[in-house]
Amino acid sequence: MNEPVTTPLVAETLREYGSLTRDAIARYLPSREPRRYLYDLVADYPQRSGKMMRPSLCIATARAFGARLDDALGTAVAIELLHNALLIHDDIEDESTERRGRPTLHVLHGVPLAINAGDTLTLVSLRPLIENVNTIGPRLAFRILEEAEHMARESAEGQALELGWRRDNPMDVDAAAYLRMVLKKTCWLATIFPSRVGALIGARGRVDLEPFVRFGFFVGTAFQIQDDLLNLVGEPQRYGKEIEGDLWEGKRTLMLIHLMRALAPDEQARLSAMLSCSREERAAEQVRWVRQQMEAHGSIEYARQVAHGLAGAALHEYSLLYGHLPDSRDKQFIEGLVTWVFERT
Amino acid sequence: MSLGERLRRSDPVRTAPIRTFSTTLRRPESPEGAEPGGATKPPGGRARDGSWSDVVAEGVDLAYRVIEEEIRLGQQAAEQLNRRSYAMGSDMVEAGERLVRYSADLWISWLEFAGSLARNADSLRNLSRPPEPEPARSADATAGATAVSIAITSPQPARVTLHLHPTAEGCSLAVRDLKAGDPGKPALTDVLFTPGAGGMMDLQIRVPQEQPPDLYAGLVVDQRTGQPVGTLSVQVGE
Repeated sequence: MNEPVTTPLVAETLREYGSLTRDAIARYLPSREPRRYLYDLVADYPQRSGKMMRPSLCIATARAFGARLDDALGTAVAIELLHNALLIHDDIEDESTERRGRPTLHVLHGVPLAINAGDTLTLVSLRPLIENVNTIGPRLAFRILEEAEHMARESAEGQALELGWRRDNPMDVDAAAYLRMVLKKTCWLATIFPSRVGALIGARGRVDLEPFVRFGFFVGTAFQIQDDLLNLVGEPQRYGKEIEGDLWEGKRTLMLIHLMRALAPDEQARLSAMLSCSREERAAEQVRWVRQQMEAHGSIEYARQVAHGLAGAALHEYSLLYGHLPDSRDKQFIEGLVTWVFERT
Repeated sequence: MSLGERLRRSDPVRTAPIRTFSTTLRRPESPEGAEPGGATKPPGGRARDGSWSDVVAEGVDLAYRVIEEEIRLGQQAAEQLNRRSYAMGSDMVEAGERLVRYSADLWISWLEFAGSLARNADSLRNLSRPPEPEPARSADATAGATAVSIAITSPQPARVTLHLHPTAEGCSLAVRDLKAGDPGKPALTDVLFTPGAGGMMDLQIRVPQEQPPDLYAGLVVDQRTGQPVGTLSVQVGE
């Protein structure tokens, strides 16, 4: 992993493509009434400074395969808008209080208005996909719409799994089930879809999309595990979300799954009892105990090691997918993303 | 309760906690042990010598198994969708082929019409649908078009018309028998698509000595899905 070489390039590319996407997003955010109850809310999350990994990966993949930037920009905008729409709903479902360093939308405006803003943002994200007809033609535009529909369904299934686990508190969720959930909930929108549609645009539809599922899965899962780790050990200022929020929410993470296996039976019962409580019922002392047990049983280091292994698999899949393409900055960026995942703090 | 309804016993009440954590990162057939203190030994955890290599290997192995299974399920779902969309009955296939035969001449006229439009810039400006732009650069020289090299062997004069839909791009092409408008005449059967050099497709057509003059036409299909992606017609004689 060539961290020193790739990091500046990744940061620079994220800034460049992120800025282009943000400018383009502004064109799709309605600036009419009702502002106070709808459009100001719709514009809130997209205007907060996200990492812009998803749109950047889409643009870079398209360009690596030979597309013009303009051909991929609309799709990149749609990806970022849909991501933000889902974040609004996720924050409500997860009862999260912070997003990108500020209070979540439902904390600021209440749940009903936030849900409505999320719905609206989902619809707004369709517009650039429809307008793709003008830039990349009807055939590719329709193909991308089909991909988007598939991705949205996978994401909804993944979110349902996680929410269901939290409601029913099953104690037999294993690592394979966790990986399947992450594949659906995180990877399809974060990495698989941006890679697949980017390649479709760049290769004008003449590309086998199956290997992108593998590459996206490994990068996306490493990303998710690292995100879960940051939730425990990240710097509050830079992380932008509530530290230890996952423990408060009883979210199934690789660390928690590892801990469940490592605990003695009486401790397992204690953990199970804690997980069966609602967020309001959980005490700070319980959360602290789980955190300490994770440290004591090596659950955090375990998850870190698995994430590193998955990053290695991602680099292997990268070489199979992109190895034959001419060298380019975009290609380097995609490779660099794999290690950048771990450099976030 | 109706007669056909099955009697079911309700699920038994669980009397002990589920303890399957220990299989988390291990193949089901793997042996496992328990720690002396009563705690389940965490498989996939740190090795006794302190190394994490097993964790990485087992994690990656599990992840590959999960993703390969998901891809397999996705492929099955896609195949079912394709079958549902394109699996026509034999009558429908026959009707489709008949339609193709009768419309082959229309395609030629349409292509001529399109050609004359292309030569007339003013007419083009009136078209509301914008053309699909070409990529500025491409990793694949054949991207955006299906190039076909046609070789025909015929003792009589013959004219070949191949029309491929844009969805034919990247497909592995196959062609059904080319049938004559007159059902009493034998079909042209020696027609074959094969992958050629540089991403092109080669189309070989051999017209037998005794083939009666007529217009022979058939569907070009995507070999993988069976979906029609174009038409091929051969005018033999005259």
